[in-house]
Amino acid sequence: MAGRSIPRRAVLRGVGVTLALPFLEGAEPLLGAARHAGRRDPVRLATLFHPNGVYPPNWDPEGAGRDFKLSRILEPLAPVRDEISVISNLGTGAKGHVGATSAFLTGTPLHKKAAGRINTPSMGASLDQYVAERVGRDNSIPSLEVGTEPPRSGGENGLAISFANTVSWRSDSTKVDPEIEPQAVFDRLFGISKKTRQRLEDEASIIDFVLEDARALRAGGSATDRRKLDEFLGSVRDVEKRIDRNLHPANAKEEWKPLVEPDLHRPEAGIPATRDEHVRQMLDLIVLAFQTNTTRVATFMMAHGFSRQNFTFIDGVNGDHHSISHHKEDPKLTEPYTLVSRWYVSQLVYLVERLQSVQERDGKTLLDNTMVLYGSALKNGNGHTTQNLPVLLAGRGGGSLNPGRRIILPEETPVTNLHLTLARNMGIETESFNNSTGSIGDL
Amino acid sequence: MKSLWLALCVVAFNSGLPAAPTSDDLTASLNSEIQPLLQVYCSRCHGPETRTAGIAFSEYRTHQAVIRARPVWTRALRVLRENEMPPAGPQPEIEERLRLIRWIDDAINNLDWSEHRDPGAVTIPRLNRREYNNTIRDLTGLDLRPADAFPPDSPGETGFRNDRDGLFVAPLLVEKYLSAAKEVADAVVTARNAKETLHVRLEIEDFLRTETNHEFTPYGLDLRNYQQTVYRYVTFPRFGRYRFLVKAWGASPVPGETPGVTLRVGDRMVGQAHVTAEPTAPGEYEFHANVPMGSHRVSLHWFKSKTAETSEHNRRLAAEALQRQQAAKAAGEKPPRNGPVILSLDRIEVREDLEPGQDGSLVWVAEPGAGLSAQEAARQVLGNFAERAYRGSVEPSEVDRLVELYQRAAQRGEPFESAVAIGLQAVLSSPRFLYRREQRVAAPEEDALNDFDLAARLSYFLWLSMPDSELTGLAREGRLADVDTLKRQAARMIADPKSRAFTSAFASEWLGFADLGSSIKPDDVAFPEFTPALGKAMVDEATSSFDRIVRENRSLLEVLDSDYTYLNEELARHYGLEGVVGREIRLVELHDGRRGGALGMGAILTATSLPTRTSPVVRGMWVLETMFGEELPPPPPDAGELPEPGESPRELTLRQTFERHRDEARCAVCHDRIDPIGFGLENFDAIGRWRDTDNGQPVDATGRLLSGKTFEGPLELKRILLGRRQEFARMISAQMLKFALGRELEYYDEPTVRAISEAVVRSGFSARTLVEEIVSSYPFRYRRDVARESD
Repeated sequence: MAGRSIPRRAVLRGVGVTLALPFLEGAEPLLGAARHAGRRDPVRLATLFHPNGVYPPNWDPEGAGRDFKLSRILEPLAPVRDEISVISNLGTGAKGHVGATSAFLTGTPLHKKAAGRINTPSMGASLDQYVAERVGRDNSIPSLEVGTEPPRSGGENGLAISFANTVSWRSDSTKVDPEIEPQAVFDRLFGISKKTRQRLEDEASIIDFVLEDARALRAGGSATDRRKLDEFLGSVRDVEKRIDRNLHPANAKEEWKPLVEPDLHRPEAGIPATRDEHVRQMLDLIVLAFQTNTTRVATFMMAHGFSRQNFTFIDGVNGDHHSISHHKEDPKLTEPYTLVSRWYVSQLVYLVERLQSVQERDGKTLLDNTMVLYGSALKNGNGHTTQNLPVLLAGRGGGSLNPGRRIILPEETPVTNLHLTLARNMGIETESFNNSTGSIGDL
Repeated sequence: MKSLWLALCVVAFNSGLPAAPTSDDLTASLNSEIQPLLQVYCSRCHGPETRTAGIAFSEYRTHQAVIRARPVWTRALRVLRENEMPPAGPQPEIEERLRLIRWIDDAINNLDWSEHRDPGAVTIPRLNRREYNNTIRDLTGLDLRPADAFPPDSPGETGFRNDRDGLFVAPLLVEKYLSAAKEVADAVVTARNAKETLHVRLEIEDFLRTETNHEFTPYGLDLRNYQQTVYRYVTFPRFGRYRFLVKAWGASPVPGETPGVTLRVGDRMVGQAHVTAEPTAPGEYEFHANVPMGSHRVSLHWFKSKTAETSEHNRRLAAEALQRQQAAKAAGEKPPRNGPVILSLDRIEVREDLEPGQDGSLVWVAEPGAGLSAQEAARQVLGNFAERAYRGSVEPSEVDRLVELYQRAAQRGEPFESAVAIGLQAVLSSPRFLYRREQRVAAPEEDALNDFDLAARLSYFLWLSMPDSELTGLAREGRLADVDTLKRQAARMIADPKSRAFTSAFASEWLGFADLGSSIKPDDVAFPEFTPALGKAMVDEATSSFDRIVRENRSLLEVLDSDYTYLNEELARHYGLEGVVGREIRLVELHDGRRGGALGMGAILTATSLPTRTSPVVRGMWVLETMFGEELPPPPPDAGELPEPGESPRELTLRQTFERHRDEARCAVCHDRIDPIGFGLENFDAIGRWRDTDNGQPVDATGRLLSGKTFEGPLELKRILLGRRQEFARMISAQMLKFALGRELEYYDEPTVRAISEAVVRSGFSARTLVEEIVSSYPFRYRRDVARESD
């Protein structure tokens, strides 16, 4: 049986199947199996979500263009100032934490249905899922979604708070939940290392066995039985093609390979003890995923969109993030609110520096080939405002971004104009994205 | 006039079969006498051009064609008998109408059925989710339920989820089959080495929390709102069944509001429980779930719901709160706010449910050792497994192929168990396991099913699982073909607890409440009282009642009316009944006629309502179609809708609103049949509670049926419906035969359905008679030979 199976697989390979990779738990594609057309380094897109807004006077920088001055919240960015831009005047007009969070990458917030009183979203796909669907099929994982908090229960303005655990929406009704355990993220990216190939090979011989049984059963069946079994045979062959593709990646010669093989270290099970450690492990995993080109799209909910995380581990903060975000202009609250925002911004610095440390081809770094969209879905947590959102861009996107500036857009520019521009930079030819009104000429 | 026709027809129906006409006679009279009449009176709407409702009578030129389209002609017979057709234009003379009625009755009912003997052919049955889970349980001894992760099975034309024509296969399902096969094989391996099991006690202080506003108490952690999620990750050593014991107490000062705990593993909800234990005596709330191997998030959530389930402690808190408010009111002060509804968590215990027999010994029938080589042991294990999994005998060449898989893995150094596991995986992925082959005919000239296949039919009918060793033994000895043996086995199988799978699947799918709580759910704003626990109690009530009828061989008429039902405290209070305490569902005797029988059950009353209100039309249709097998045409496309609640004119009951919207004759044709029955059930609201008023007006539950009988309220309605017991016998016989065969019935099944329902009536509606008649029936024991089968 084994002997016979090899030539048939070779034939399959020749046909050049281009099916989307179905996700199969536990049979993750092998490291290095990611395919990418051509040898140029791919452009990657990461989104970092910062919950609960900021205290505006401490966010908005003075000045424009290259001559802007880092504000108090942005001060931690000083070491990487030339790699980031501050974008002003983007907005969504969404209401509440849940609505605003859902609009962050879609521009089109969730609405509760008035008549049926059912939490039905009526929105477009999010930027990350939109991009992944179009360019992600060449990678083992079309897109990676990670977070640090589980969905929270309860409701806000008739919408389930659990909807705010993500900014990723595959379609108007399919939300993508972020994975919050580092080990599970690692396993999703890289499989459980060596066992995977063995398991695929076992599956391949089981498929042979199954096909032989199905043919025998078919031969003895009635006409309707044969139709039923043809349905089964067809499905088994589809799965066979998937396994074959994973075992024998097409165009292996042209396969993109990282310049330096990273050291893969599987994190411990469970949630890391401190928030710093948790967030950094996730950022490390994003860098690994990008470096190996396992995915080109990653989204990180640094916390739930309605986060009540306790921040007393920061000196000067005594309370949870959501409660202090309703600061009522009281300095006893605006100050800790600002300190929490600075902590979030400093995570971006960590990511930028990590990306900068990875060498790619032609003297470029991974940061040069990446676009990081950082921001919050609320401007001022106190009033849940959703115009002039806090938004940063980092990296050079393979030459498509020109960072180191403050870019002031016309007031109330839809956030989807930025999304449209980033999608195009990822190589997608499109004139619009959800409710966009145009792209941004100079980023 | 109408009653005269009915009387005539009843006589014709009951007069037996005097000299049944042959098919040739009927074809001759069809063309000479019947077609001309159809041409004159029916062709304006049912001619080759118009084809109203898809019917053109001119297409029927032979009796064979007529009988193949038996449902069409059954309907024609009914509308002719009841003077419903032709609705306008020239009307046939009385004599002509009688001639049509007589001919159709002969052609589809009173013919010589021996000319149409055919056991039918069931499309090769694929295991559905329930059958897959049960089969894995009986095959391995491990209750793993891997099919819970499969895409749901859609009910076929029969309405049952074992309808073989409704079960499809897509690549996604094959992927799931492969993963399930691997998970089960791994579980069988680890069960054998089950030294390392999981049993941990996790204190709530060691959990992570999404909010840190509340401090730990000396006891544990108090939760007071929806937003808090308490969670931690737990590593599960293998894919298996785990038990979770949550130690907690609850307190609520708000009358009718009780706190509860929701348990999730990963993103999946495992269960919910109302926490009524008092602070002085915390309770342990138990949940069970199958969890895949690996690290998974275990999370706990607070909820509160409107339920009658409460504690003395809560009643005291509520009384105190009321006192404080009254005191404040008397003193002219602002009344204090109610305190919070608290769920207090102490710890959660997680342990693997390992029961005797769950050590994989059903699979590991041999092991390498003295005098037995590893390969020979593998051959014995795999041969035994394949024989049981394939539900029949297995060729040595089939075992060879499995041993080959074992060898290849053994050669690369896999230990004995994991190398055998590759073979187990192959068996579980094979279509020989996933499909039930019914190709082997014992004696081709008779089309009798092979004994092994008959054993499988029997066990998938009454257990929704594989045959046990007794059935397989009888099959091996060739003794199952004996009808008495078959009946004895059916009785034995009904007595086995595994038959609960049959009674609950059949009752819930036939009566239409299988999706209650999932896709069928009342609006949660209009009916906050409909909790998941209440929905489950309703389903338990309906399935337990049917289970009792079958298990204790009671009268099938108890489906329509009975003096008992099954309740727990929450459901009893929902029904306004006192004296039932606790969460367990139990048998309760009834003393008034409101409840008892399907028409008084919350599951059916809710499933036949719309999310925000009752629907007399849906309920009326349900009674006519589900209980009595009437076929009603769909409404015309422009029939219109009723206004939503709140939009209807003030101070009108639903019934009054309804009657305003139905004054057109074309609607009245059907609605005069349907609506009175539905209105007779208006005393039950959309979640099955008793009510005497609707929208502030008294409920009018009086009605006049088309037969002229009048009634008031559900009790009298039930009495009238019990009068239609013949039709009910026929309906339940036909439905259970469909379920047993896994296919839609065809015209040639008519004599079988008749024989079964006549036997049921003769036996005084004995449930055992029904099951025995089905398993000994011709279509159940025979199968059309594959070679003769046309497309």
